[in-house]
Amino acid sequence: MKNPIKLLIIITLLFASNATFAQQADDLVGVWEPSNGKVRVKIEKLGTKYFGRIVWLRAPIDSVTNKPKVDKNNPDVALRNVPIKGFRLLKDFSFKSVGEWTEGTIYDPENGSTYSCTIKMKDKNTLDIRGYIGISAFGRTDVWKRLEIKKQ
Amino acid sequence: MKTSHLISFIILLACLSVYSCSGSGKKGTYKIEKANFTLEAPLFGGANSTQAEHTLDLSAIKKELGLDDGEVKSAKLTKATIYFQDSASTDMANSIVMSLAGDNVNMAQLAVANPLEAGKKEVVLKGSSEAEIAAFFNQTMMYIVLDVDLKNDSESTLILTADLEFEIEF
Repeated sequence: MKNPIKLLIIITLLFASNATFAQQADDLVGVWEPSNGKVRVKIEKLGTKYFGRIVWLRAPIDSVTNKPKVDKNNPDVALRNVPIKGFRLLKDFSFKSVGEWTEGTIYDPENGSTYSCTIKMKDKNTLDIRGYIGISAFGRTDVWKRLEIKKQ
Repeated sequence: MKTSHLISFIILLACLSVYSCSGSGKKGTYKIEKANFTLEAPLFGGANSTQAEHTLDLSAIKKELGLDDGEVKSAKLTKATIYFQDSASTDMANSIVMSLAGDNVNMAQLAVANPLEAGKKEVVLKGSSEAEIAAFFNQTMMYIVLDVDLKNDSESTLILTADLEFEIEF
């Protein structure tokens, strides 16, 4: 390229757009609370994907065993002793476009079922979490709120 | 050609095609030794995650099995032992959960120890008999993830190592 200033501007813009892309993808990172308020879920990045694990439970003790709750409904018997506190119920989400993460799953410890899931960010502090079986039309959406409110 | 010969020929063809689709069926053991995990201080009571990146190298096991190439068709965790380093011990934690993750493969929860036996330097995890993890062994790299549920806050960095064994089939 003849004009080195032009080249510099293009390189700067490329780096800036990459940084913006990464920042938008990481908007999902934080601690979130589902509408039922029973748990709080910390969403983190691992490799290139996003995962959410339970970091707080309103009722951490199982009323039957009087011990910390474990994943007693897991279809895999060997894993029924996994603690619910710390459990990853959101797995393998990829950033698709601004405000949308797809290709993930959500696990319901109350029945041991795993559902396909998409996440849409309505604003910086609100997520629509849609769990479904098969196609997205047959599913249920829950609204999750960010625990530490970010300015819009 | 007589009808009986024709039927035999068709059965033979079917058997050959089934055999060729099912792979070699050869099994071997893949070991990961002294995978290092560091939980940087300060640490807070509750679940803390740490991961170790592992680059897969199946060349030795393929050589041992006399295979030039081929995909891993099946894989199971057969042994998982976690070691607490330095002055740390099982007294620090309530439980440990191990998972595998990869950029092109969905995370799989593999093994758990809950509760941990007090006063020990090593923990043997109970592995899942159902988790099918072959896809991880057809990648070049995977993450081994440990979720360590600490009893209390700690000002010391916690270092763990892991020895793992997998039975893999080509």
